[in-house]
Amino acid sequence: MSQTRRAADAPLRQPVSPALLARLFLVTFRIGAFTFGGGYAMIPLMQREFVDNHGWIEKEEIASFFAVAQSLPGVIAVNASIMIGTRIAGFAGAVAALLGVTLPSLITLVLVSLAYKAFIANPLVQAFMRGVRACVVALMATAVPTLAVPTLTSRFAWALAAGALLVTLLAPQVHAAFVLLGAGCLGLFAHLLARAKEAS
Amino acid sequence: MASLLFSLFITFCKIGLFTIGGGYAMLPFIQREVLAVHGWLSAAEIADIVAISQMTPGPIAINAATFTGMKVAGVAGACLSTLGVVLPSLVIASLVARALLAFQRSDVVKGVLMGMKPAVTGLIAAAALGILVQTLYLPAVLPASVSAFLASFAASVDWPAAALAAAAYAALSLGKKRVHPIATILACGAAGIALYYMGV
Repeated sequence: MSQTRRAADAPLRQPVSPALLARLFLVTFRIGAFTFGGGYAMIPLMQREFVDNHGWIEKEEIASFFAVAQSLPGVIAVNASIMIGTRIAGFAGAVAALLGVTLPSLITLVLVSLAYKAFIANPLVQAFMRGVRACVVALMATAVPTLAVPTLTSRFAWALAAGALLVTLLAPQVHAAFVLLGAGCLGLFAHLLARAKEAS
Repeated sequence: MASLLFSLFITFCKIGLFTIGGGYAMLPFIQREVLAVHGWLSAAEIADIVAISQMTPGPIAINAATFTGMKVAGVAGACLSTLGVVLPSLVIASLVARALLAFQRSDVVKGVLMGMKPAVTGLIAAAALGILVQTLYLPAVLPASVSAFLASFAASVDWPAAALAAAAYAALSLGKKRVHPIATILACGAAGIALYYMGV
């Protein structure tokens, strides 16, 4: 853990320097360049880089960003990067993270689209991707306990997680944003109820 | 040309603004816009986008935007389409991140996040299961009954890929010195190529 970990009441942002922005860009660029299999696959890489390697953000906080990023319009990984960038270095951080996470995909697609038929059919590319996809399975499996430890801290939280899992598996047509919205309402209700009990 | 570029930009802005949930949830909307409304791509090219997205890094919506822009108007088109699809996110996600940070001690934000954080863990567990099944279970025909499923199960699992995924999981999470996700992804891709040459 680096010394950038903050206490709960410390200022939210660190001083924004060009060096911090450059680091943020490089880290998100690396994440963007190695995320195969869509936005969800980016979550374990973000946990490893932002929480473990750089200590820019807490485990629990990144879980909130993932949750909110999914409830907003647009690309989940892009939303999450922008929110994390904002948290680390304000609007400049958001732009640096956005550029970093988008550019690898832009550059690759510009090149691939020139000869994409040959690219898709290439057996070596297919063989490489078979291995990569197996790794994405493992990566996603590591993301679950990493998120579960800071978020599943009560029986209520376990019930919500199980509910979200079941709804997604049994009724895949229900939009993830609605699942999160529903869970958010339940959380708000439970929190206000607990507050009212405390007060009385 | 200028009006075409403008039209690409506006169309992908719309896609970035009006699709919630990211990933494949964005595809029907993208398809309607670029195929039915503008006729920029054919149905076959849309199917190619999905194939390319599985083989290139980055979120599928970014890949789709870059590919469409490139096809219709070259590199300038690719850049403007991609800018279009992320611009709404930059505005919305950075404002929401600011609001979250400013009001993180309010009861409403606390309560809503208290519900959303466990739910996102459940959603990611569901995504991990989905990717696991999709990647490692490859039946020739979908089994019609439970007994048919049990009978064909062993033959339908991609066992070498499953072994690779297990090895990757061990490398990523076990021991004191966990391997970095990017190194693991590259090693698994190389293993995929090795399996191809061994004919497994």
